[in-house]
Amino acid sequence: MIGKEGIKYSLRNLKKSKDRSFFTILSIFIGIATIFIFVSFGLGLFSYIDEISGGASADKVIIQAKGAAAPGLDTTFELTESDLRVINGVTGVYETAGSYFRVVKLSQKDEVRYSFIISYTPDNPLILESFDIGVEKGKDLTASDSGKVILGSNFREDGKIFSQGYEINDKIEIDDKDFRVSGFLESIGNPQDDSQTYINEEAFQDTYPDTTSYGMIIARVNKEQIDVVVERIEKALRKHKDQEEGKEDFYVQSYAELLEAYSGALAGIVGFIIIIGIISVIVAAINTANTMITAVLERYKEIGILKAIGAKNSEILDIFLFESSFLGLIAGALGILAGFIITYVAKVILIGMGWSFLAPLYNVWLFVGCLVFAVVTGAISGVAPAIRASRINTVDALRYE
Amino acid sequence: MSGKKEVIQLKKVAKHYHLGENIVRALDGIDILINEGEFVSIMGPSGSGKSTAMNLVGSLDAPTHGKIFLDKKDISKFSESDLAQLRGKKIGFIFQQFNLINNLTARENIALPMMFQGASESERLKKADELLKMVDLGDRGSHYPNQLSGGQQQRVAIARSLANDPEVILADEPTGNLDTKTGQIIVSFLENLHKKGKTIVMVTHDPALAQKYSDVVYWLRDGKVEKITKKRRK
Amino acid sequence: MRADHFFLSLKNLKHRGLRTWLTLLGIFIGVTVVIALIGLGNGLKLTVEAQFGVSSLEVITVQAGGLNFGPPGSGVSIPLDMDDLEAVKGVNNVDYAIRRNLETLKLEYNDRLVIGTAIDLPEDKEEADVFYEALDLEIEQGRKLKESDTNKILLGNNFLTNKVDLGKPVEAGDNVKLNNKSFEVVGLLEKQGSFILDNIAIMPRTKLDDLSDFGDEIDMIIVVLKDTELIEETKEDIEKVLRKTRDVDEGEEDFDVSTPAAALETVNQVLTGVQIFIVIIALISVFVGAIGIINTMTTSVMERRKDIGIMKAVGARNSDIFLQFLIEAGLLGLIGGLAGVVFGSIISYFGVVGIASFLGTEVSPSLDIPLTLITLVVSFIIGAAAGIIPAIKAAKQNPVEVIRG
Repeated sequence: MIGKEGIKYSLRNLKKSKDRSFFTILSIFIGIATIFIFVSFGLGLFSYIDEISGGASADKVIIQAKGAAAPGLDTTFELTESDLRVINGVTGVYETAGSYFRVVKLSQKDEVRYSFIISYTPDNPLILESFDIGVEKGKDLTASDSGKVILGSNFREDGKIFSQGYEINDKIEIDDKDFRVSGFLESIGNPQDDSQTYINEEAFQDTYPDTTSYGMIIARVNKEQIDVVVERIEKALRKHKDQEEGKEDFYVQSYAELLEAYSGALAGIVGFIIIIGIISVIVAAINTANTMITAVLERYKEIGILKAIGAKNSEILDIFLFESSFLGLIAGALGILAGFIITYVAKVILIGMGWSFLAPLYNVWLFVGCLVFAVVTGAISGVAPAIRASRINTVDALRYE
Repeated sequence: MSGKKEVIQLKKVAKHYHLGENIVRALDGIDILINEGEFVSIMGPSGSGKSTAMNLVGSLDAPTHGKIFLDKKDISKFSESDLAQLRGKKIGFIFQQFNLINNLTARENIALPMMFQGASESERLKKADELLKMVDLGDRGSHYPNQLSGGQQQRVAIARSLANDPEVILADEPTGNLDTKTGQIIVSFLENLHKKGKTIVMVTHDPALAQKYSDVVYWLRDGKVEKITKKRRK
Repeated sequence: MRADHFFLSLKNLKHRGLRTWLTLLGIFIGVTVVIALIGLGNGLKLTVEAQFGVSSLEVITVQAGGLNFGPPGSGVSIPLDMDDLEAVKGVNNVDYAIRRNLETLKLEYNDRLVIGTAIDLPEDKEEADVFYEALDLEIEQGRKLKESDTNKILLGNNFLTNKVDLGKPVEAGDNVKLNNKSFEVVGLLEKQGSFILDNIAIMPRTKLDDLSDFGDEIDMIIVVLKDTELIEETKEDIEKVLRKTRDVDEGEEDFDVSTPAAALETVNQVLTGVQIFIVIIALISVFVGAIGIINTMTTSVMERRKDIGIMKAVGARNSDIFLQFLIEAGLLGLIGGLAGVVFGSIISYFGVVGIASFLGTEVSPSLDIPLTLITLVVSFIIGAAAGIIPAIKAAKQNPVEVIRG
């Protein structure tokens, strides 16, 4: 392969043509740093989705009515209490819980905000479990609590939703009625979910008697047979609603299926961005190839001398290949370092802003991958010039002035 | 007889280089005077400083000590840019290694100095073609240097040196890279120019060549002028 | 003098062969991506705008406040009602205030089911005509609804062209089932280019009320003005009036009055934001390409030391040499940029055509001349900028050292 002298020779050459080496390294550095940043953000988003879909949801199935709007808002087609009972009776379903959704108007002094209010049955932890969160501060609601609500974590802080943050036992005006704050949920990590209001089912029904359709129904089912159970639920509901297959006005999905859909879309977007990033790496590779071609031209005579004193073609090839790969290595290491610093700073800022779901994530493979990618980029760019160098005719080269 | 007008004068000129910690005294206080219409040769073995002297005479370089006068103007402290312009107008160069630009045709090489003096494209090309004819290369105008023999390249160089109608032609070992016969042809070209009234300064290591045509020969050794010989002209 | 430098530069570039091509390739790739992305982004914006079904009449839209995650009327806490409607009708400069309701229905045909949106047609003939005009609705097959029609509906163009998932096209005279009740399709609309309108069902208000029972609830009010010059003032007047009928204070409104300009504005802002983000990423590759120019020029200067010396010997000033190399660098940028603009425009053209046909919109991508020119100028400047330092180094060369050989 390449001996110690060969390595020393290569490194000396790189040092001598400092300008050229610098710019080549700069090009690859930029490309790798860019990729590192995007991939780490991508990893962060995927892990967020994983978290949500984590263990707590592997055995959950969600049933919602079809509609033109976001699920649960369009109440043209209904899921009622009787539907809930039917689902509960399906084999393989261990327990069910329904949740009503509604958009409500929240007021604080002269500020008005709109939020989703979500109902749940406190003695059945199914709903909250599906969001994988618990009450962080204060008390959870009990079934008999009326006039009390639990708020998402963003309500606590000044300026996030209302200019003044709420505290436990504060009064909050919902649709012009007063409620008391019983507690706050843990932060889920995205502003949408952290700004919701939760109320117990009875209280909801008292306040909004005209809402008869559940926004969603969650069923905890037999994990191993989840697909079969999904089919059974569909059959049972169809029968109960007297609808033909293919003409249902509801859908049943396992949580996993649902999240797969989101992951798919996300993967598409992240992939697209990364491809744009890879284009910079391609241009960097072109710069590297250019550099190596120049190096070969400059050392034309020198190569002749090396061959005259016994270097084989393969050894010349190795020397040049090593040089371009080494450039890639340095650039890769620097790129990873820069990428890491930038993403780390971004992470701190994002978490501080309450958008931790966007925070980037690191992975050993990310570091290794980027480094290898950089070296390979260097190597590939340098291959053609290296081969040309190895094939130089000794006599011609020696004669070259 | 040689004219009384002084074209180029070097007064007590010295040129030192720093090579690491050593000082190399390439020229150690020389005086050279070139009058209008003269054919001057600067002779010497290698290391005598003749090439350095040539560079200074041609204002390609500046002296460490002493003054250089071109048309009685002290150019020792001129900026490189200004020197370049002056050079282009008044001095024509011919080098041992021809020094043509490889990317340009013979015609374009000849036109180049005119371009730097602001001549229009049509003027340049017309003059270039005239000069090509004068050096017997009228049909080779579109050839590139690598398509011409050594002798032909040097002739193009001569044509180029005449592009701006300079007062002085400086030839640095013009025959160095040519065989004897071709070399003679080249020097006879120079002598022709001399007969037409041009001032010629030639550097060479060949004494026979130097003495054949020159009016004045400066013999250099170790950075100093050893002797000056003048030829009686009829 | 300038022109000479130009041609000299071109000649020099040609001679440098492969390495020049590679440098050009770098810039070319970067610029192509940037232009393509900008073009696609603009095309996307146009397409989305077209979705809004902008009509020839300037109307003001009033909706109840809430979280708008769907068609107007969903996600609303306190809907608009008849009092609100009457109040708006009474505002100065209001020609018509027409209530609109959008409902989600099950549509069955050919043994298949789709979920769709239905919008009501005003009972009043005048209002109905205004409705047709405001949304620019024309019939392609069949006829418009008449006052006397009861169980008859109109369908959007996608039903006719079988773009709805029903297996075969719906024609005038066919019967469909809406929420299990049978209706005759008397007409199908011309293509609007908007997703909502091409998939819509239109039926008389009373019938829609029968099916969905919305009673006095109003999803949205469309306001047609007498004098469209006063659109901003009228908007404010409507807001004042509604604040009274809904008993809310200024700043606390639970409704939203928007002019078409405003709605478009918001969407545009979001899309532009995304577009800028992606273009910035693409600019990184242009930047790397510029680094390639620096690299190439630096090498070029070193390799041509002798030529520089010769040129100086025959009279070139520092500025001549500097300009020479600067222009060469600029040309590298310009040529790469030119190729990139051409290629990128082609890509964005086909891309926009693709997106438009996918969304069913009629959008004709046009060549953005100002963008093209700016890009060319900027490419040259970037190239020249990349070449400044190498050019300065070239100009500083000392001819003697070089010719000494």
